[in-house]
Amino acid sequence: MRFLILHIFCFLSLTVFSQTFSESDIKKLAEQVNKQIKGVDIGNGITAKGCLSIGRTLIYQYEVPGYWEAPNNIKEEIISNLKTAGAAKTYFLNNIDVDFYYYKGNSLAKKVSVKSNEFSTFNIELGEYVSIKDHPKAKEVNLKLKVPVGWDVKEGDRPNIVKKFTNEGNTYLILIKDNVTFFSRKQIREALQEDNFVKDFVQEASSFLKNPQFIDQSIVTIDTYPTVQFKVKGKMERSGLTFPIIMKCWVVFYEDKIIFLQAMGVDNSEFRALELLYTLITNSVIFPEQYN
Amino acid sequence: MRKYFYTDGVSKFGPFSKDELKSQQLKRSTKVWYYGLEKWTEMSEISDLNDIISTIPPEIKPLNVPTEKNIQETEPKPLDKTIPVYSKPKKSNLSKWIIGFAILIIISFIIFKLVQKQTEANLYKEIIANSYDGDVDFDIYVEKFYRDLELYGIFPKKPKTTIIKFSKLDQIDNTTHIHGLSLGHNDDNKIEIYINPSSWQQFTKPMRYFLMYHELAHDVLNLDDLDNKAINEGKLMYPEISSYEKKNMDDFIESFHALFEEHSKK
Repeated sequence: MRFLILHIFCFLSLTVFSQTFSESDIKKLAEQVNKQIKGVDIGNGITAKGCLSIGRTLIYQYEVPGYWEAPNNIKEEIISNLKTAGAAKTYFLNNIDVDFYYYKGNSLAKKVSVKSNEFSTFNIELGEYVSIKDHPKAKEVNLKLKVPVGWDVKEGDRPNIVKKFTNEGNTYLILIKDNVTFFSRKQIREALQEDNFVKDFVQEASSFLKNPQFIDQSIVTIDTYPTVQFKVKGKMERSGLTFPIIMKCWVVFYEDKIIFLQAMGVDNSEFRALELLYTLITNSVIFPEQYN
Repeated sequence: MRKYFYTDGVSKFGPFSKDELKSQQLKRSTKVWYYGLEKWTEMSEISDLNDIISTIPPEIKPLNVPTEKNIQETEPKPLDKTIPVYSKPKKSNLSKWIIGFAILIIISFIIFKLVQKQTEANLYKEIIANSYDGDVDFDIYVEKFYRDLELYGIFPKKPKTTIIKFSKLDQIDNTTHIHGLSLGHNDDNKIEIYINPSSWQQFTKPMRYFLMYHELAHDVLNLDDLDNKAINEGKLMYPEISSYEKKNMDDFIESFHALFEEHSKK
């Protein structure tokens, strides 16, 4: 509990800074925290010595009594407490590693190192399959894919959005449109060799963004079907409000349909942290009919 | 003494002396021939026979007089001395046989056509009687078929009447297993297709698309089945769709693209 109190205090300091931390920002943070905690008795004979930073690592220092022994699960307890306090998410999103040094006099009695990714509050575990077979907006496409654990499965509000997975404002959606005709996988692969075709297609798919900046694009395969994968950021206007948007999109060419698997969010580190999860969802896609 | 022959257009009779000729049943138009005469000639044109002609009353109505051509074709051969000097004229039945046979063939053909038409009518009634609307939306296939045709610049008339139903084609008499039937073939005013529900149930998704586009190609494009040969296997108009169990949607897609492309060039 004493660790919790200390780190809530630290977290409040963290929120003063912008969401994207440079090393300089981390240094300023360390200096600020150092002033606030230096000499503070946190109980059980433990006193805060101070805080400093090296690169992207924050280092908290404590003075412990001679009889003090580090609990076996001290690292897990620290991470758990920081998650409860809310600071873990900030460390994770801003790629900040944190070390805890425990001194007995001038001797280092215990050192605990926590990497930023260990502070992750996002569960990147996938759960059960969800199928869109016979869904009224699926346009006869039969596919299934796994939903992340803890995410909600919702119906799409707009005409072509079949389903969407949501969690704390993050969204992964399945959108299906008609293509002009049927295309075999071979025909699509041939078409995708044309750079202009891909470029035009990606631009068209991103046309709802203002000033789109294409970050990357590539041709991949999703369950044997040719797919254009691209990431783009830009600005989107909704109800008069304009905000920065980043989108990771997989465009699957399936028979006479185009399936958009689209993860979109505000352009911040949270989106980047979830990219792995979005990729895992997409990799779980199966078109069962081809195996009948 | 000059010997005469005469003909009724079919057989020749003679030789006769002039006196014997008088006693024959002759007409003024009867054609005669004697050695030295170039061809069969009407009696009236032979002055030597005027006295015979004057004893023959004029004909009341025209009879079936042999034509000159026929007579030429039956030019008598030089007589053998063993041939009887006199033979009674015989009525030939050959022409009657030919006419009778021709009539028989015509009547048989008409009967065959009537039976065939009746059979088709019965078959049609049977298909209709066995038809029903299932829970399959066949219109989707029609819409996609026309959409895909347009991409190839083919714009067939889209009829107002579209009937696509299931029909228990297995129950129709004297038929082998039929997967589907197009009855709107060569009729641009309607699409009429019947699908065998047992085939539909057994078919995979690609086979269903093969079947529907196959029948629509019959109905809308008036295309015929291809020969049931190995070279045609895999094509849309190959008649043995039941052998397409291993085909996937790519096979179907490339198959109809090839057909439409070929059709668009015509």
